[in-house]
Amino acid sequence: MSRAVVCLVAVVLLAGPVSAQQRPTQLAPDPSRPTRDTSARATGTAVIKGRVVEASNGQPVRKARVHAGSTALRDGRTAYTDADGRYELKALPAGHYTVTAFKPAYVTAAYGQPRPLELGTSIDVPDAKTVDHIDFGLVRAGVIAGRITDEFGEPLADTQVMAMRYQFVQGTRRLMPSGSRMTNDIGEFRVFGLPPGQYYLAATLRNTRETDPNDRETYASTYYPGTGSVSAAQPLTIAAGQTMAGLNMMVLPVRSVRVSGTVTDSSGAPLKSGFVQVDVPMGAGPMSSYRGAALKPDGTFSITGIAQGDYVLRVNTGIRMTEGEVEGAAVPLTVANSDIADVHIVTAKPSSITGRVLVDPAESGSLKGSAFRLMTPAATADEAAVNGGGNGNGTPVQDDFTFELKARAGRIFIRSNTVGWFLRAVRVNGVNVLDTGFEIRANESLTGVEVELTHRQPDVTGTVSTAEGVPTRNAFVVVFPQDREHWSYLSRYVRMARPNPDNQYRVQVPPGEYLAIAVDFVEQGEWAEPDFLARVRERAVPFSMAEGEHKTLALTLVTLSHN
Amino acid sequence: MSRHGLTAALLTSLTIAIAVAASAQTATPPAGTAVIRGRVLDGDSGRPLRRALVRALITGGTGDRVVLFEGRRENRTATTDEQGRYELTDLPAGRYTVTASKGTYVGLSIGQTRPGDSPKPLDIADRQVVDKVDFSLLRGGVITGHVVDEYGDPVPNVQVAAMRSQFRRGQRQLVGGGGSTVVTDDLGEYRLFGLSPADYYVAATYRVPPASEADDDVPGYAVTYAPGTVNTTAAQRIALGSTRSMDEVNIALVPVKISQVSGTAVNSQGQPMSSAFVSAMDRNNPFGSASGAQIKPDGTFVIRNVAPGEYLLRAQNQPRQGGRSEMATTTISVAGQDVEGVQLVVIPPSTASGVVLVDPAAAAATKASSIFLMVSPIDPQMNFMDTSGRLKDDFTFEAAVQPGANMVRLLSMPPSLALKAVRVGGVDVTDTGFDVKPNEDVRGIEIELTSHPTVVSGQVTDAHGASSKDCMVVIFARDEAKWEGTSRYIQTARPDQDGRFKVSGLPPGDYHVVATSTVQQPDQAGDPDVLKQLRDRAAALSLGEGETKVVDLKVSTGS
Repeated sequence: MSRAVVCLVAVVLLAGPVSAQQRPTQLAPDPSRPTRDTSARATGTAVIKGRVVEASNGQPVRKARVHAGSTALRDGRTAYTDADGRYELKALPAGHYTVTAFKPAYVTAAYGQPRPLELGTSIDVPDAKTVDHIDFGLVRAGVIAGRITDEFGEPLADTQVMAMRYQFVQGTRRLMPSGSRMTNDIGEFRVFGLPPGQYYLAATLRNTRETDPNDRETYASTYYPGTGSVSAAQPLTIAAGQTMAGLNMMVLPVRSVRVSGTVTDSSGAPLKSGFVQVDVPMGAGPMSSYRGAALKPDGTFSITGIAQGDYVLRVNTGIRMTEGEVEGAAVPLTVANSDIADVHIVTAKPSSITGRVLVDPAESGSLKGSAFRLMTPAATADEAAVNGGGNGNGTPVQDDFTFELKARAGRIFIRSNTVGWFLRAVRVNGVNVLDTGFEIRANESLTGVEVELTHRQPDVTGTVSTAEGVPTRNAFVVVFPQDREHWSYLSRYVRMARPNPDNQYRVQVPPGEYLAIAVDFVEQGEWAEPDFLARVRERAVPFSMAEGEHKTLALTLVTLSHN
Repeated sequence: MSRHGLTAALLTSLTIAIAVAASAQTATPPAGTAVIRGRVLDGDSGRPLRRALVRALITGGTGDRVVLFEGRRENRTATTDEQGRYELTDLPAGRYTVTASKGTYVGLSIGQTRPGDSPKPLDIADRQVVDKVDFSLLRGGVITGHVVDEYGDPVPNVQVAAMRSQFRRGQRQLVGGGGSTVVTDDLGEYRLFGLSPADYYVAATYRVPPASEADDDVPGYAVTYAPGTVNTTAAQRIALGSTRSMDEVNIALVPVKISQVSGTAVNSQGQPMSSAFVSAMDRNNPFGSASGAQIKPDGTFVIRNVAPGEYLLRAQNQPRQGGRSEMATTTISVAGQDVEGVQLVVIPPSTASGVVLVDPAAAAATKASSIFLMVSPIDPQMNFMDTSGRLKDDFTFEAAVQPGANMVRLLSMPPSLALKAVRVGGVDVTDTGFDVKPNEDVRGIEIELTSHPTVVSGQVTDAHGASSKDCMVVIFARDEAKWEGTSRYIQTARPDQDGRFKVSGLPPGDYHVVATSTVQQPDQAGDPDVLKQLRDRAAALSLGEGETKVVDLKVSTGS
């Protein structure tokens, strides 16, 4: 059972609050510089310095970690504040930087953000200059504390208590973890480091090896104040630095069932070894500590203690057939009130997609194929919830511009993960599937795929001004197509950018008919949601982008009402 | 599948053997007819413990050897109801250890009044119903406190663990000892719980956040022991015996300068090792989290966030199916400065081969495959590979062996046999071990077993003449030179419920033998200071080749 905990903890860490599917803020890359080979260590002579204090009382914050990130500097640079709260980031190459200050038990602050948890803006750091007064007022993070007891009122140890918030991830609004702690021997917990916001508290008994496999009862996740369903849960509003104590909860046992069946591999033979785990799909609740069992040598498995709900059954073999090819499977599973027997899962090796990247040599110059990276994200939100988000950092293309990608069966996109390069076409069997995605079958080897990339993308730049005509940087510019068809999951046509220190924004989109709006605030990820776009459509400005066009568009800030 | 450690043992009990044969074919737990029942109570209040877990683990007929079916332990579990009652049914006949546990209570087996006592096994026949197998569990001990940095500010996210002092490899070391590791909260507070009664030392490990290139002044802290020292000898000792909790065990973290270790790792062809990892293990804190770094495609690596200390660097690649992994190790000292230019060249392990010699009469009765051995580094911290080997039918063997100082260890053999001598090149290396050079095989190892091991048995009584089981029998060589390392010349045994004990397999020679209540854990007998104290109260014992002796002992009390 302890292995299940290890695997699931890994899932929690990977699927953090900012999903890999989120598009990063468009930092305006300098068009005069060639695409950098970011593996070389870059240094310069510029400096960013400042001071970190506590927002409430101005006292210096010691040992805060300040990080500066930029496309000019892979991995960024980090410095720590001294006894007076001062820091200095040295030897920086010129560029646009985002600066973040972090200290445990404080809310992470991004320089230029209007509110905690929101995106910051970038600062311009010229060659050999010292940019001073990049200061931070850190806000202490919130705390939720209380006691967990069982149905007899006795303290429950080894229970995971998780504070969760709704966030836009991979196409829908999901409940994502913000912080969690285990209860101690007297059932107490203290979840700290919470940014201001609305939280739901969930208590889940961690599965230790010490569970009776014949139990027909299990403790399912319980949400504050004491319900098994998220919809009946009471949200807790935490203000900056607030400690909410006395959150006591009783965890009640619920009926549990057994899920059993067989797993066969891609050749039809029973899978002799591996692990089957029952996972909670991302965003459906606390993800960790669910159940699992090792496969018996005859390929069968039996998992007890599963409460009613929707899950994903994952088969993990961990056996590498050849390098990089692991048999596995993930299937959705709905559990009601009775045992489920005869589940049959067929694992498959990841399917392979091979092909070439096509670029215009006039654009790419001496760049080798390995400068490019491709990804294969799921093409629908539901599949992404089951299969995960696809290979995180992307797979590098070979030097000769050929590539081999791996993907699980289903509908997928091919996307580029290379800064400064944009997709023009993805041809599978001659058909351009760039925006529709395509189906890949289990154990398939798809060949002859062509991925066309270009360095040029039409762009629109401009200033955002308030109603009084004053240019402002505290704006979110959303550019989206007039055709609702393209308001789809992971659409290339919907983009968001924030103005730079010169109050200029820049958005790059493929040619087409668009609308643009600058709003004062939108939640991370929400700007890509069709509901949001439909709401702001009326107030957005129409414009069109032609091939190779550089357009200028001034926008007026639209204030959306928010509490 | 890897075969680290025990994966099989010899079956001697006929009843168990039958059960095994049946279950090994069906791969499902064999049904039985015996029943074990009883109650689990809270030791302080006497109230019944609900939802306590009772586990019956089959231990087979050989005493401390564990029988494994298809590589998995056979066990049955049951949970107690509201009256604290449990019932384990359908048990196959056999010898069991029964353990009760619940969350943060200290788990106990039958025969233990405190953890660490030898559990008393329970022999059960078919259709037998054993009632009143009761347990009285005590809540685990608690240690609380808070962790601060050099400014006195509380430090969250610091890993805090309760450590115990154990005598290992000839020196006193602090090792992780029971209770899970906890992490400090935003106020820097921690609470360690579920601790069995013992002496503890509290260690705080600050986890440095991942660094990037050219980070200046990354704050680092050494593994710090309460109240604020890096010296294990100066660490505060917390005796959780009769007092079950201790508060205000605070730790002031000791700041250290963080360094970086860099170098190259290549394989035996001089090519860079790709997609492999260099790990750095702190020799003084082997159970702490190891740091390391991925080896880049050009074979270079940079390990960041290294606190001062002695480290074992290791690069090891994954073996191809059926092959052996290649490995390189080196020890480096980090003292606040960056270390550059470390060169690691991985090489495949050498091969150790030889034969096991048994007298012909015993050899006929012995299945060669029941003998399982390992040629492993004398330093247990260095054990990174599968160096085990099973005997072929002709009693020859072959095993992988890492370069360096190694010893032959017999992991499993029939109880009627005992180790007599190990010879390499005609030289007796039984207790000294032998050196293996890189890329050089060692052939012709002779392992001599005797079918007439020495046996020392007897009865322990207390001052009133009643049988005593609450003590440890220690037999140790008179010659102090034989007390080094994991010595064959020191053995301990706990008497059973009738005060009887038995020790077999001691090499012939002169010994001291004593029954004492001051030695609680077997590892204490490895401490020369403890042995010197026991010497005064011990009786003399001489063992000849193959001799059996009966010795009755009186428990010696006193510190």
